[in-house]
Amino acid sequence: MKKMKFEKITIKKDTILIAYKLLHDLLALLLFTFTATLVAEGLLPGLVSSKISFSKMTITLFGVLAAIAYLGKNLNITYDTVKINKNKNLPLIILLSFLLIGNSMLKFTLWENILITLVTLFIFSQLYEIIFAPEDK
Amino acid sequence: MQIFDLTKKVRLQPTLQKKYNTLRMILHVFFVIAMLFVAYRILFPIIPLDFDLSTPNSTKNTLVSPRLSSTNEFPSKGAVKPNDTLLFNANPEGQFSNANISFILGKNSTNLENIPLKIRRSYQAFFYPTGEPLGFKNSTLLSTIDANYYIISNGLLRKFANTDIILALGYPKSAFANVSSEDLKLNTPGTDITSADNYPDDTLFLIDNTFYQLRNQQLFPFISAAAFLSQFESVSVISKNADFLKRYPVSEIYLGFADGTLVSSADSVYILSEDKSYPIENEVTFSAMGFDWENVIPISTDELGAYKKQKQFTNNSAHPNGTIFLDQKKNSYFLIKDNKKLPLGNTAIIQTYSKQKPILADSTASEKELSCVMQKKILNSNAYQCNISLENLSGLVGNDYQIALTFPATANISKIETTFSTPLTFASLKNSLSVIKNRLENR
Repeated sequence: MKKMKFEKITIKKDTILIAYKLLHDLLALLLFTFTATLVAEGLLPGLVSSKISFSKMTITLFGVLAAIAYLGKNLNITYDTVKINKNKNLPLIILLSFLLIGNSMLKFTLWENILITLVTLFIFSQLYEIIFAPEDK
Repeated sequence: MQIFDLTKKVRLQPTLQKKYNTLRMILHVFFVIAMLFVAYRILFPIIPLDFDLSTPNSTKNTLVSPRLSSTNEFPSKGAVKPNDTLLFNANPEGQFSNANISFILGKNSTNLENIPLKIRRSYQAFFYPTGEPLGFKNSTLLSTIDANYYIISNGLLRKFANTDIILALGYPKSAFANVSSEDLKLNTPGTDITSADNYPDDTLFLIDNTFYQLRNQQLFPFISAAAFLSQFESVSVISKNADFLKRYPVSEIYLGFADGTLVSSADSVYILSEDKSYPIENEVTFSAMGFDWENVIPISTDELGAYKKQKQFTNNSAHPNGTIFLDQKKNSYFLIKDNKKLPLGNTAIIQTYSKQKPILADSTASEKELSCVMQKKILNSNAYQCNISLENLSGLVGNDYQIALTFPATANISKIETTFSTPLTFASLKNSLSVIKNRLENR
């Protein structure tokens, strides 16, 4: 009797690598959508949230992040911690944060709004530096 | 999207890179399609509104008050008798051009095929049946051409026996509005006022800058001058000094604003009616209900605190008691009271009730009826639906669609489902963008 051969089904590393990169693309698109939705909701509450569920979007974001972390671990990919002030997207992040925080305080006068927004951004950036600063050896 | 390439450092072999680029392109195309779909749903909204008759108290029910025309009550367990009409209201937010209405029936229910369904548009309260015409409001001072003087006291028309009594009691002469004898017929005549010893009920006083109304021979203070002026003219009051407070007991209950008054406190707008305040959900609801921003009176938190706060006043709420409608076509006024719209017979009577701009309505338009014929749904033998174009109702005043279906035989309705949609046309797009622009401007 002839013996049947069973090949072990494995996902190739190449496929995982492509999936890893595609998940990053998906993450970028989801983050872009999430930011655009936040801005739109800030301007007109209910405009987008009546059509797309915020909670579902957040869960999807975390799901994609978890998948990236899992695949990254499998592929042994590591990143150096980047200081926030060396991030190339920093101006864009600051602008968006400025608009989002400022938009939530429209009832304040313009100067009060600008001052509070700047102080808030400064505090957040300092917090980020403290939390993600590399440990001194 | 190169700026969002988060994996620049992860490099692929050329063959893999090609594969990745193709998949990346597919992902982006899919994303663009999804975004276009969301934009389509925002600009051309589709609103589903349902009512499950087995769970009438569920907050998931988005259609309003299904009721039988014979009893004006909710059909228990969805049961409808032969030749009875089921009515319900739908209040989708926005302008819609099409509606799909479905009935899902229980077992042994009648065949609804070819039965006409009717739909009308106006305000929910303006669909109320018309009641008896109202007479003059309490506290109104009236005079006729034959030199007779009257006060409306406890709803009755009471005549002053002579002018000496009026002078002795101190009623200001300018407060008596000239009306015809015909105008007086709507108020039931009461006993004549023959003595100056006592003031008749509903007389208005101003004592130490506080307005009072005499009710059951007790003085009821108004919570504020603004509250008094929302109901009466300042010319109608008799000024007295503080000693007068010893003559009649003063009530601890404060009188508030006229029913149906719109007020604002902090960032919210409320409609006040019968000691209750209803916070209006948002500016879209405010506009959809036909309210006018010019009518909104800013009030203090103390004034608002005298009212019991109720659930939000939404698109599904009917205008409360005290709301006044102006039928633009017939130039007639109506006051909403206990699920009826009571006609305000003539200009003199209207002036005693209306201190705010009325809600504009149109009786001719509200009587305009569109109909469609029920058809069996393909995949469900117990479900019937009809599609109706709402184009002919699109320009009409009112946020409410009243839908009616007369059942030819006994039926058990399980569920009513409706879908209001907007067609993919340039006019719809223009309308949606204009709504967004208005909302942005009104921020």
